[in-house]
Amino acid sequence: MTEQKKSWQKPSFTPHRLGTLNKFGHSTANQYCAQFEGVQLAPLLEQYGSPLFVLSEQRLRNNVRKLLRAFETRYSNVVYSWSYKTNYLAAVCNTLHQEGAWAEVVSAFEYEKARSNGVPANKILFNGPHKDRDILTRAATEGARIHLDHFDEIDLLEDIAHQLGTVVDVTIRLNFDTGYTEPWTRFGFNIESGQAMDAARAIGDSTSLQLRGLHSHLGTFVIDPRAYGAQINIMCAFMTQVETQTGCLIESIDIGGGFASLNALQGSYLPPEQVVPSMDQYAEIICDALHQATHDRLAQGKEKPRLIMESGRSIVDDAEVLVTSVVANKRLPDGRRSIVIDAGVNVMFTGFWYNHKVVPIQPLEGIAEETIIYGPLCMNIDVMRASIMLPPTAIGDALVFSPVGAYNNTQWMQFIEYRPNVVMIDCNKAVSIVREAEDLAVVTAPERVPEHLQQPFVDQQD
Amino acid sequence: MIKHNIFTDMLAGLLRSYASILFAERPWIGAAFLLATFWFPNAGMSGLIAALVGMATAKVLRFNHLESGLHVYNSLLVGLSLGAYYQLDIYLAVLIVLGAIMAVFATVALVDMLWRLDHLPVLSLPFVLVALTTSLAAHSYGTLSRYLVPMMPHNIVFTPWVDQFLTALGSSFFTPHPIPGLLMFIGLLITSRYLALLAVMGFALGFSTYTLLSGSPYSDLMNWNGFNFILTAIALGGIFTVPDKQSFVLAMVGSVLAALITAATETLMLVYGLPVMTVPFLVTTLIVLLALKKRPTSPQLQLLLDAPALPEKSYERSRLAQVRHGEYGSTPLSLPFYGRWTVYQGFDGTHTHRPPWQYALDFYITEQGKSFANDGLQLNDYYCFGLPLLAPATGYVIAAENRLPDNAPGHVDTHHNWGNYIIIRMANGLHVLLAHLQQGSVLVLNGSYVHVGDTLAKCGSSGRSPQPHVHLHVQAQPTLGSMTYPFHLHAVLLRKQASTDDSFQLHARPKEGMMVMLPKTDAALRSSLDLRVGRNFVFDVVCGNKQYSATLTVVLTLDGEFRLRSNSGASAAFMDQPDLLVFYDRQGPEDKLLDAIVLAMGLMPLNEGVMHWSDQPPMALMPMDFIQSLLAHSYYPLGEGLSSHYSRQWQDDSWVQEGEHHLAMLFGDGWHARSVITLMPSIGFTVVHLQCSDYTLTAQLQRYGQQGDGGIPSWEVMMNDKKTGE
Repeated sequence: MTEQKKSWQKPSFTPHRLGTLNKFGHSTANQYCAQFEGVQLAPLLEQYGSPLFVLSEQRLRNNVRKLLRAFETRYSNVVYSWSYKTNYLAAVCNTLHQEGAWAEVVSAFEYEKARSNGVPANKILFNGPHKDRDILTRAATEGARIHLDHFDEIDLLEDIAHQLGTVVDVTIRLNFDTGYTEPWTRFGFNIESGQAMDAARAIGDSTSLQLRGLHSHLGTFVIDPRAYGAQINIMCAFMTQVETQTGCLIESIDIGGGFASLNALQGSYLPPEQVVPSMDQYAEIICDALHQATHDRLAQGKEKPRLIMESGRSIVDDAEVLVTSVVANKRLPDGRRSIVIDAGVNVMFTGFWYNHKVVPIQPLEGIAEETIIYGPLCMNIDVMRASIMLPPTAIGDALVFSPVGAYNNTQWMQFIEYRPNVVMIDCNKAVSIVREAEDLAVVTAPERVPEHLQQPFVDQQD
Repeated sequence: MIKHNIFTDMLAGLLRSYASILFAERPWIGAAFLLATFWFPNAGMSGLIAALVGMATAKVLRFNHLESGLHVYNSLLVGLSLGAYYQLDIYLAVLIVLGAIMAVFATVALVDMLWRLDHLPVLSLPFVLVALTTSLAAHSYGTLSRYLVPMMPHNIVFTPWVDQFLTALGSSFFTPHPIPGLLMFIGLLITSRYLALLAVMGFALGFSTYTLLSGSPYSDLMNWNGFNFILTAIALGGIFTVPDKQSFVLAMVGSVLAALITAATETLMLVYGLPVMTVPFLVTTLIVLLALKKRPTSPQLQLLLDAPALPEKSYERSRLAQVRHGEYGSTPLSLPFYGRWTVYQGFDGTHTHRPPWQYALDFYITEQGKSFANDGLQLNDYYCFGLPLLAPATGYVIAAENRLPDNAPGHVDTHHNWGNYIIIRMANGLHVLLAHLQQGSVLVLNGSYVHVGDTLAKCGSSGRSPQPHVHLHVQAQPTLGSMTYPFHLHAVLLRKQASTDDSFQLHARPKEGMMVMLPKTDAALRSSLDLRVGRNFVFDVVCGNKQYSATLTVVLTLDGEFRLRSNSGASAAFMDQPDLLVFYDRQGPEDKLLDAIVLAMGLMPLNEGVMHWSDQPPMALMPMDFIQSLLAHSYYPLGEGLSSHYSRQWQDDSWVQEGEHHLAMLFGDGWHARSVITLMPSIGFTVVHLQCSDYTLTAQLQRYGQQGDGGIPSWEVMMNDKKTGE
């Protein structure tokens, strides 16, 4: 038996701390994550390069099934609609569509993408404040479910429907104060001011439009499920009111999204495991409120409305991780340790508002020390994690950021660096690329260079 | 005009009374029978006089069902019987008139008495009573002169046995001769092949028994009385029971018994010089029916005392009922929960579903084969714990328990096997039990009236429940845990394995491990199939090389049945439920378009998503040429269901419902047909297509609208307008 030689570590100072509750939550110092969904990450990194986004098809399916189970076992008519802006990689969308999800899109691009993914128009909720005449005409012709956001849009769609000679079923977006969250008054029609009823009347007076649905979206990362109970009550009261006053029949109540994922918002004190409600907790409050608010509907000869949810984050967030590699270690002038990794906030936009979980893919030796993780951009704002307890790292050590499924693959930008590969682990643990890394050709492909600017230096001409 | 109607009604009633003696319905068959009775003009004329007197009596006294011939056939038989024994003269005519009038009164009185006894049919009982009276009276009337119809002809017309049979059949109209008998047999054959078969078999068996016992193979008495075997077999096996193996055996046993009773009656009646008439038939049939009425209901040998019908019709009704309503006598229940649940233990389960609780279902929720998340040590880890439970049937809550604690996983409370429970008394007198409910979750009180789908309680783990689940069964008595009865789940999406697709089942008895879920109603599809009274659809039909236009209209019949009626006069009934549109009971003349629509629509679950289901519509809906029809009806004399598999999905701008239909034949692969129907939102069916080997029918909706009525404005929409609008 030969004794293993201990590796050398740089000496450092570590202040003593009490081993109780601290603002870092429980220590991540000894944690590591060698595999994701049963697939070793180190070989993946070798094959597909660093940094690398890794998606899990099984987790996506499990998450949407969990949501559907929680709601479908409590209410008879539930529809889940995939919010495209959260992650519109085709592989992600189609995994969810295969589980029965509709599509919720908010722009011409997203609408076209959903159609090109093969989603039938009547399973698309077309939302958002900007839909121009062309795309609205297409949506109305194909029978998409159009959500109206403002009076000008009512006029525009009425004009389009009139020209098409058809009656278009529409949903209006509402905003109101539940008392639990900051109201998002910039979207839709306000209930308290009477604007929403004015919109409903305008639609009721139109011969080309027919009000069939109500929609509202409370906000994002709503961690008190009672907010949804209040939302349901307000929307159902409004439903009864518009039905009596305009004679329409509301078919669906769309409560938007906003369910929290297991991620730590910057500035929140408790770890997400303790703050974020379970899907069953959301479902129980929402379905109870809906049953109570609609209990006399069947007696009135009306169906209970369809409940639509558009939660994106809680479905996709923990189904994706970002694997990065350390490119440099640095000691800052104030004594704090910092490292530079090969992925920055340009690809992980959510780094601005979450403290992601960061763990190495193999156990790191040494004493954990407060560390700042910087991205590779030549910009001061490129901080991937402002403070984390990490043992010393060597160049090339891989770190896993999670969860990163929501909003990163849509809000990322090609800035300074190329965007990396995104791979997906399918249900049989096979890995394939679902979005290829960019190279120069991809980035420059849309560019058109005028004749006289083809050459950077004039004297190069022969 | 009105007088003409009364006259034709009267004539139809008269002819129908002739037809109904052999259970036929059509007047022209009655006309053939009438003609046959004039083989012996003395008897024929006497019968006609009696029938006319009977009609007139019933008309004057305003007895109902005049036109159906019900009050008349007994009078007719009295007349025929007198005419068969006495010379028709003025004296006999007086007796016939008196007898015919008396038969009307006897019929009306006895119909009511027998119905009250146990829904028994009156048959020819009034005739027998009146004819016995008149015969006895005739003995003391010296004015009457005997008339004897010539017995068995001297020369054989067909073969001895055939002559014997046809003579016996003819003597049911007091016309014992093979030629009129043949006419009657043809009438019977046209009315129903099955009845004709029963007649032949019943006669053969009754005749054999009779000759075996009496020892004289060609008794003259047989000529007069043999029809009793025929009528008994027809009544027991074809008219008052649904045809099946058991009912056929019953018919044969009946004709054998009739042979015994015939011999006995002959001996008894001979003393008074009276004819046997239909006494053996009546005694056998009424006693057997009355006895059968006392059996518990069962799927075999179903009695049809309330709705007697020709065997082909009752067989088709019963077959379709079996296919669409599930097992006879099984109670339909709705699923008592939302979402997809797994069967934890099925009927005759190995754990606790043993007699007398073998008809029970336990449900829980599983994901990837597990019923819990985390480590399953807490009740809250179990997916189904705390989920709402719904009323599986409408009725009164008659008992409930709410206070027993939920057991920790793995523990059971054997002192209170059922834990917290709710018992609902249903309209059919049976009770439904939901058990193992969560402590304190019961929302209803004793005496509450609950509707299907009302929330009652939450799923728990109280009583003998090692893990959270819900127990469902139907029981006879209100007492907790009394004997269970079979039941089935109505309209569910069934998934046989976690990995397979859902299939829609109108009735299901899922086995352990199968998953069930309530389907979601497709409100858009439902509102598109708006078949309100007066709605009409005009189609351009291309069928082979023929091209024509056909109109379909929704009508409401007097007894509250909605029917889709074609301008050809053909129609089909349909039922419109919130989750189902079902077509059945196709009646009337040939109509290719209506057949295609009824076949393509069939039984239509109005649910969302890609749907798959199976049905067995009647084979008569399948397009067949004459040869094919002959083959099919020979192979399936009572008719048969097609094996039809339907699927429906949304394509571009409409629902497309496809059906694959198959009729198995003795040789080869059988016959196939394929139907496609396109359903447009807010319009309904627009294109119907039916393909069957070289037969093609395509119908395109041209216009649809609403017929005007007192308060309903009429309107019409042209399909072409709509197209140019786009």
